[in-house]
Amino acid sequence: MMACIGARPRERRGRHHNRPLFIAPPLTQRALIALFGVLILASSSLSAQQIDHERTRYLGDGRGRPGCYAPLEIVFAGKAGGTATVEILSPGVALRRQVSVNAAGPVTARVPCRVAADSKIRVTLDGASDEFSPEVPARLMAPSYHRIYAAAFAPEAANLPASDTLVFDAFKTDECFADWRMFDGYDAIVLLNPGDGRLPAGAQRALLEFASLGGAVFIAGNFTLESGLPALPDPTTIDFAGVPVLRQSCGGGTLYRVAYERIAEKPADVLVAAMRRHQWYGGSEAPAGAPATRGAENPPPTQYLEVGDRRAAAPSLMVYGLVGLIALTCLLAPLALDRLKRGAWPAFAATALIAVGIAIAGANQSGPLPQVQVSVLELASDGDITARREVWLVPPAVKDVFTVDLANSRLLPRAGKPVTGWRVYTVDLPLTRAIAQRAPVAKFENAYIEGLPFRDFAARARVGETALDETGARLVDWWLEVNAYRGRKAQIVKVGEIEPLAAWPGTETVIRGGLAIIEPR
Amino acid sequence: MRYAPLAVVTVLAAAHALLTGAWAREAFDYGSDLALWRAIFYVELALPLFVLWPAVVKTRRDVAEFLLGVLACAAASSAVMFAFAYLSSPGPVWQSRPVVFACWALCGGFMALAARFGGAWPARARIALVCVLGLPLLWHYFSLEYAQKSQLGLQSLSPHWYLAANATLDGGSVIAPLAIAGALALIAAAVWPKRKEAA
Repeated sequence: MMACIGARPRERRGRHHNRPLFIAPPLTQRALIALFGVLILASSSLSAQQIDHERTRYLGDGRGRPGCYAPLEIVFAGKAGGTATVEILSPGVALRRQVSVNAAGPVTARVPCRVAADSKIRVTLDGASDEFSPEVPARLMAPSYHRIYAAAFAPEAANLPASDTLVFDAFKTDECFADWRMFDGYDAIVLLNPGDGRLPAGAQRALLEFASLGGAVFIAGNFTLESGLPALPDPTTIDFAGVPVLRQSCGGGTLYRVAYERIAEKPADVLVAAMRRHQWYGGSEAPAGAPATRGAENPPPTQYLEVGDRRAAAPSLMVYGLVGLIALTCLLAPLALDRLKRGAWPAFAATALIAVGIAIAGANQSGPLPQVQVSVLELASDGDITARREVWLVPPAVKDVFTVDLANSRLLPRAGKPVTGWRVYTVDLPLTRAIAQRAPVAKFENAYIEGLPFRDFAARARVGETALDETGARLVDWWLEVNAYRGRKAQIVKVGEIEPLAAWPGTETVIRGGLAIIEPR
Repeated sequence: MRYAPLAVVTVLAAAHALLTGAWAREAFDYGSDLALWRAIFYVELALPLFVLWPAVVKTRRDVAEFLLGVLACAAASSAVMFAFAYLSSPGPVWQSRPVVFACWALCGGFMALAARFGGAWPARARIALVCVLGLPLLWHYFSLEYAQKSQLGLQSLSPHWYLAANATLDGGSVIAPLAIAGALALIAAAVWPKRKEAA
């Protein structure tokens, strides 16, 4: 024991003398160092374009309509000369927009974002990405017949008197949105334009698109439609609170126009009266049930639309050839090898090898594209302008989410409850042209169609006792369940050939059928 | 056993022809391609239980030859399934291969082991396999009816039950028990002493 202790200093000295300058650390330590380095690199790349959590927020004074899209201002750190991809993610849906970054420093972009706790934003720049879930607005504006939720645009700041009846988010005219999806959650858009203020490019189309889907646009002041936009029908004059207001139908919605001077004293009274006319269908009392909202349909379409029959794929000659070859192999291999007297194993081995070859050939044959089944509900009023609400059934074979490029597409999808493994999307397409072939089927009034309570009519339609086909019957059943209690008048129209206006990449779009609902307001 | 791959191909081709026919689509009202694939997979998964019948397995060479036959059966059934991938895409076929191969391995392993005993053991093994793989759902209902006890745990033994109860075709928790039991049975069949020596 003593000898060992005494020998240690000499050993240490010897080792110290020959010690290299650098000692390689053990493998675990090297792995930890490498991991640490990777983490540092990752955190540095993220911090270079990290989303500013403090300044990224929903616009609109802490208000938002749940389930609908609302304007969101996103602020992130950018690098000069790059292009950032901003994605707004909600379950099953991704809206994408490219934002050019001209200089280093904070970059601001305004995008539509669904008001829900599960919504996220992702910013990707130079291959690195960052995600953030914006805080849901504190004051959620549920749809109501007695409270109008509006976005008001004015040159300085909208000076409408806020009340329980009229709640509005104030914006400046020059920041009016050029994307209708930013208006999605509002009941009405109000433009107060006393001078000759101009809207930003694209804003007029966005307003018409919003109106075509059932919204109301109220314009006080100068407003001339840009060329290239669809023509609106001739206006009618309606007196609201003693002020004559021009009214024009636009798809399922309405445009109101009035000289600014006429409403300067009592803008809210006229606006509320006009909105009542729009939302209450001219009645003196609010309709029954809940008002329409694009955010959530109750009941959802899934309850009514089932997956339709698929067109069966026809086998090609190759299929017959492959099955014939494997059958022939299984039949001939044992017979041929019997003559060689080697036992059964060469037959099995040959069968297995040929089967693997056939399986590879079979796996590489081109099959039919997955079919996305689309049912169309066209919303119309007077005139040629319409909008579409489509229900898309997406087969399980399609794995990717519904991605929309905000710059190139005007549609807005919302994911619904899946049906037998198929995903369901309700897709809004604004400002479309009326489908040419039309055949009126029935008139709906006071919850009766053709002298029948609406549910009796729907039941008859479902068993083929009306002029509607199966898809039309299911659509009318859904529309009636959602809308009939509002006591409106409507005409149900069977439509002919329907052109798909949008398609899912890598799939075949199959139009199952459609229906037009014409609602005079 | 020699013609087992031919039986596999014939049965699967007939099942495809039957189930993809217009009248069958109308009668069974397939809501999606997945429902059609599911029906065909039920047939494919039943095949290992019925087509495997070892002739004489006395030596390890016989065991190896029998296993090669099982492999040929599994490859032949996969070839037919991939040939019919024109119906939609090869995705569902790829997805289901692990559970199908696990089923072939289990049946092959136990039939080989039973064949080493000779006599009526292969027949007994087949009945046992049908009871274990195909009928747990029945045992579950009997247990609920007569003993008020759930036997849901047996789902991990039955690929048919698993496919019926789950949206995906991947086999999930069924694969591991089948594959492990099949591998153990194969090893046992391979190391079991020759019948003469045992006697």
